[in-house]
Order: sequence, then C-alpha cells, then structure tokens
Amino acid sequence: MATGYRTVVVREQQLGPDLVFSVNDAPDALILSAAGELDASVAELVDDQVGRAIGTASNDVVLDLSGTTFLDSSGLRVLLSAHRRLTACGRRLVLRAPSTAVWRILEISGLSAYFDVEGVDVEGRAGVPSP
Amino acid sequence: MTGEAVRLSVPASLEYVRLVRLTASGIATRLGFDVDEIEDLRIAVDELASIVLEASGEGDFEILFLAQDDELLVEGSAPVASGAELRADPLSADILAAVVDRYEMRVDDGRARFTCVRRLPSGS
Repeated sequence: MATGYRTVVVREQQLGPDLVFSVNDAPDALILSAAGELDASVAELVDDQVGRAIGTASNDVVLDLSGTTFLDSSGLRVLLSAHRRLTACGRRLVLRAPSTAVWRILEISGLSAYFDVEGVDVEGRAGVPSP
Repeated sequence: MTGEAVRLSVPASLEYVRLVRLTASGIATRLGFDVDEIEDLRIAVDELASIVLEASGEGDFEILFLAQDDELLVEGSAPVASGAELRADPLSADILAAVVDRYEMRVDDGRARFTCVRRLPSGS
C-alpha cells in the first residue's frame, strides 16, 4: 500500500443552470470554488454550501473565483457572510484569482481592499494565477 | 442601433435574469461599449431586475432597451401585489450609483418598475 499520500476529497455540485460549486479538502486550507454565474437565483444555495463547508473544517478557507464569470451584490453578500463567520473564529477567507468580472464588482463596491485577495497582478487586474 | 428598440419578455423569475444580462451584454457590444462598460451594464440590469423580481414572482417580466440621442435607456417591469415596495439596500445602491448615470424604481398600476440610463460611448 502506498504511503506518503493524502487523499484529497473534491465534491462538486451543480447549484444552478450555470454554477458549479466545489469543495476541495486540501491539506493546508479548505478550497472552495464557484464556477459560473453567482447571482440572486443561486446565492442562498451557495451561502448554505459555503456555511456547511466552513463548518466541516478548522483551517483557513480559499475561495477560488477564477471561473466565476458573474457576481452581483447577492454574491458579494455570500463573500461578506463567509468572511464574518471565519473572522469570528480566528480564521481567514482568501479570495483566489478573481476573474475580471469579479474584480470589477469588488472595485465598484469598494470591497477590493476589504478582502484578502491573492492572484491579482500589480496593476490590479484580475485573473492572474497565484504562484 | 440608435433609435431602435429591443424588447424582451421572460417569466418573472430570478432564474431568467441571466437571459436579460446576456441581452444587455449583446446590446452594449453592438453600441460600442468597452469591456468595463459592458460589465457595468450587465451589473446594473442584474441589480435592478433582481430587486423588481424579488418583489414580484408571477407573470412576465418585460424589459426594453432603447438607444436614443446619446443615451441607452433600459426599462423593466413585472406585476406585484398591492402594497409592494422596492428598495435597494446600501450595497446595491452603491453599486448602482457607480454603474449607471441615473436610475429609479417605483410601483404603479400594479407593476414594479425600474428605469436606468447610461450614456453611450462617443461615436455610437
């Protein structure tokens, strides 16, 4: 039997016509991703799934937004809610590689500096993979 | 397409807002909006449509895009029960203030309505 390997569990769920939510139980952090369009029609479902995922782990949470092609105020509320829940118990929410669309609304709403964001280049454009 | 109107009618459900965003994006492209301006229009239409549809939930959502003079006018409406109110929370209000030149929401004749205006890029 092979040793030195850790099983990483990835669970994917289709939460709407154009949104796939996945949970990757990686060693260093819980990695979540929302691929597709996160709008008011699916925000409540995503919020539930994020809340459940946060509750199953005790480390920091990375939310990969590289495949999120649209995010509105209802999606921002999901991010704010997750950030508050994690901060309250001394953990961090990191937004990874936000797409151009996500970065645009983070800037417009004045929230780009509120969140920990990785994978944004020096000129503030989104979509740059983290090293 | 200055002077031309595009009308769309979809079921008054949040699930159809994606279709409205797609239409907005196509019209903005046709009018020569740049990438950020297209995104801004998608966001504006999405925010306003979501507010109207959260107050509605039945019948059809009617939307009109009209490019006229130097502006793109977008109007949307859906039926609501009497006494319904429309309200943009502070986050939505901040976003809307940044992405359109002006907007308004109201309820009259049994319908929740919004109007928003975005200036056209020069040369459209």
